[in-house]
Amino acid sequence: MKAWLSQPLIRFLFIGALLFAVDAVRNPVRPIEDATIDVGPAQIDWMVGNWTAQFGRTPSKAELQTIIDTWIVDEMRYREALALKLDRDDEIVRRRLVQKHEFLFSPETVIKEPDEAALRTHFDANRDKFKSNWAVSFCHIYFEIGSDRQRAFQLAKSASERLAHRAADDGLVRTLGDEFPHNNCYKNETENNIRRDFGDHFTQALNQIEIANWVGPVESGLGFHIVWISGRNQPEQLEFDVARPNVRADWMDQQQSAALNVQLGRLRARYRPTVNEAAIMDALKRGDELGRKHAPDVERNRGED
Amino acid sequence: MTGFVSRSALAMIISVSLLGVQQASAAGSDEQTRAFFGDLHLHTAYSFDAFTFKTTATPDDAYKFAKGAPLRHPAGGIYQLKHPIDFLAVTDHSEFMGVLRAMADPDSPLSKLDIAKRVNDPDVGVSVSAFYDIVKARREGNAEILGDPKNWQGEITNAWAKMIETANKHYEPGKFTTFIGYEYTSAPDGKNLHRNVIFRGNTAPKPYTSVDSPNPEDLWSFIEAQRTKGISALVIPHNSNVSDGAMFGVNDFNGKPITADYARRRAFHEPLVEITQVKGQSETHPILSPNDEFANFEILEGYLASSKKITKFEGGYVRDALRTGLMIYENEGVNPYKFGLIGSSDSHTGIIPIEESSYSGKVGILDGTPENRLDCKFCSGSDYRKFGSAGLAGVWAKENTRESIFDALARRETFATTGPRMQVRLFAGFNLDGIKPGAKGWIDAAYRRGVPMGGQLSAGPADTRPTFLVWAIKDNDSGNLDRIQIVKVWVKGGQSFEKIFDVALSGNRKVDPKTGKAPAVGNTVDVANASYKNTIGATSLSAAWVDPEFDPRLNAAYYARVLEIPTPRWSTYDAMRLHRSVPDGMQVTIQERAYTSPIWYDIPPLP
Repeated sequence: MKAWLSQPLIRFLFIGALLFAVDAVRNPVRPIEDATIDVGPAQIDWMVGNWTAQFGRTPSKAELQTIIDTWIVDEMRYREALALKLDRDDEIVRRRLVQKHEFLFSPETVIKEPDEAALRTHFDANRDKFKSNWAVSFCHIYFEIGSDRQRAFQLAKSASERLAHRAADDGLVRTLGDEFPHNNCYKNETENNIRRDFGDHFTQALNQIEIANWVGPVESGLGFHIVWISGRNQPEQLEFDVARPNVRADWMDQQQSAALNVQLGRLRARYRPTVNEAAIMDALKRGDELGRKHAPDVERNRGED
Repeated sequence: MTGFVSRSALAMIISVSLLGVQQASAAGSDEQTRAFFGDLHLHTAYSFDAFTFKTTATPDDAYKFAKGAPLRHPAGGIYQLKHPIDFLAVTDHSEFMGVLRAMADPDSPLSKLDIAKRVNDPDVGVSVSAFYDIVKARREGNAEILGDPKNWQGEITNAWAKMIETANKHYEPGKFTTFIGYEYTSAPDGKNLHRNVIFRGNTAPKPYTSVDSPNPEDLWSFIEAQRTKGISALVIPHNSNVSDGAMFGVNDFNGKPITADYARRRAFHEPLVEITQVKGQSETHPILSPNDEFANFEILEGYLASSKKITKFEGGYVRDALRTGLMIYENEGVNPYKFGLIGSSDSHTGIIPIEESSYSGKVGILDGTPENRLDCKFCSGSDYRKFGSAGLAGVWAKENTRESIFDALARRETFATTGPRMQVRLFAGFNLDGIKPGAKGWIDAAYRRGVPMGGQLSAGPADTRPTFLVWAIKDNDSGNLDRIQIVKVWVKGGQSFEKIFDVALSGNRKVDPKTGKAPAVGNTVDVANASYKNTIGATSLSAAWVDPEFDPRLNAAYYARVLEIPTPRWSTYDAMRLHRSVPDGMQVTIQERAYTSPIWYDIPPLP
């Protein structure tokens, strides 16, 4: 056994057979439905055009022959690759095809200007959307945090206790708190403006705490506040003429999303996706564990990871 | 407040050169101005470069993002602003606007071009190389690579119509303001002369491009011609820091010394400069301002998309330009560099990366992940580690409307921030005694008796010195304030000078009279966790400052600079996410800042 295996010829035949077998497995010969590769006039014109654009002259016959040969080799590889389903699970190919599909089928056309009747109808059907801004009138006493947050909080808290059930203009008010760099009283202020000066938390609190009483401490990004709300205007229905620009914008948006939803609806009707819920929970849990370990105090937005 | 000299000077300019009416009505005192924050420089997939960075976001996506909606980043991840901004102009490049994006549209003849294959190549390296080839072809005046001009020019027309429509659709007066705009992308010999064009109204002509002419004077002429049709626009240069000294020189585009006529046209059309954005700050450079201990901040020293280094800093920075402007004013009687300041993003993803903690880069996939940024995976031209997170434009206006904000921009009542929404007011006058910034009623009094940022002081009574009222309050969600400084530039004996005064310091710090410097505020940054504490600094600072060195015979300009306490730079957050240490050569902490528009003290030229 050992002896004949050491024969060069036998060894050569054996290795050859092995390579042949591997190749047969790797490259099975498949029947091809359509083996013709037709390089027609349109294809040739396109090749000549590209060559001309790049080199400023038409290609010679030999050059053109090379371009065509290269193209044919590419086409053969392309078809083989498709037959082998090499396009599957390739994120790059997937993204490109998704993009093509979006361009061809998504309703990203310029939407026509709505006429007066369309706007009126839209306004009547969506009155809830076209309301005046939420607005609030309030005064506040400010406690700067400085270097001792706990101390500032305690000062604000004791001020709040002392002020409980006193009037808005009680004499005590003037003696409490630190000078506030914006204003101490605001009249009919909108949500956006309050948010810009006081931040989210304070703005939300203003929409919830009781009216006509000193309440606090409420925290903002600037410090602690004791707040007296004198009035809160809930959003009110706008007249059509006032709301017109918003009605128009909303109408346009609705047209666009309606068209998109029609398309997505057709797609959804053709497929039945299933999602592994357990895997979702697992992934979230792992993320939470990592997040708890690594998220810094000041991080807010979701980053890459 | 009404009737200060700059507006009457402006009126004179208008009547002399028949430029039409630049909207510059002043903010009166009947209702207070407020700070609105926005971005006047943002790109989407309509920009020919952005599309090859794999950005797919459209102007529609960008406006929605600015209003608070989430948006997908081309490199993965979904981003959302914690607080919506108040106004936005999507300013896609006017050159080949929408053309590369159309190459991905199988219905467009542009998709059949050879270059389209490379533009759509999934490998960002290949698609960006196709972009560079188009830039090169454009520079050589050869657009054959884009096939039949009818096709790509038609696509620009389509894209522009869509830009206008989208800006108008998202405009919500009183709540969110949009501006129609574009970027004019001139960079002769690679020297950046880029400018954004921002329109006041709801329509605008098809954009002017650097293919039409690389000379910004021709852009001004184009805009002047539109003025007769009632279309007002502002031109805002940016990234003078990478112009290699070409943006604010003493010569015009053709190398001839700046004349009074040039200076008048420039000051009229370009009342603002974008001083800070992702591609670094353009306030000053340590070489120009060796005594400014805060000058070494987000410095970018390379040509755009190139490894070529900047060698000439004069003419490339705002503070230097303010000095040059005063010199030209003394010689020619007109100051070409009388501009206010804004910040913006220049992001090319539709996402506005203003926060260090959620920085997502500028150029799509190229710098879209922490690895790509820190490892400089695609740094074939620009070094993306040197990019900073985006700036914002601050505007003092009465209402969040196109008219109100545009007019505040035109009268330079603006300030720039490096991202945080800190608010800063600055007034100057010879009769501001007794007004205490921050005290009740001070703003009305200051408007009545002084001029706000962007304004101009006329000569005061004999033997008086101007007072500067400055006030700043921190961003609710950002670091406390370290200090307010007044930066003064002036001209004496044909030479220009600059000096920085610390006018308000947090805590009990004092300026050392020997060194003229104040002690540092300290640093609370925990590098490993990329976090900081607001246990140092102040929530607000203010000062009433009288220039101790004022000389009524010398032309001068003053602006305020507000510094935050040190906080982690974006790269420090990236390093934390990747569990690495911050790479050498990158600043671990930065001091975010705001710059106000200057106030000028000009001596009227002799008749």
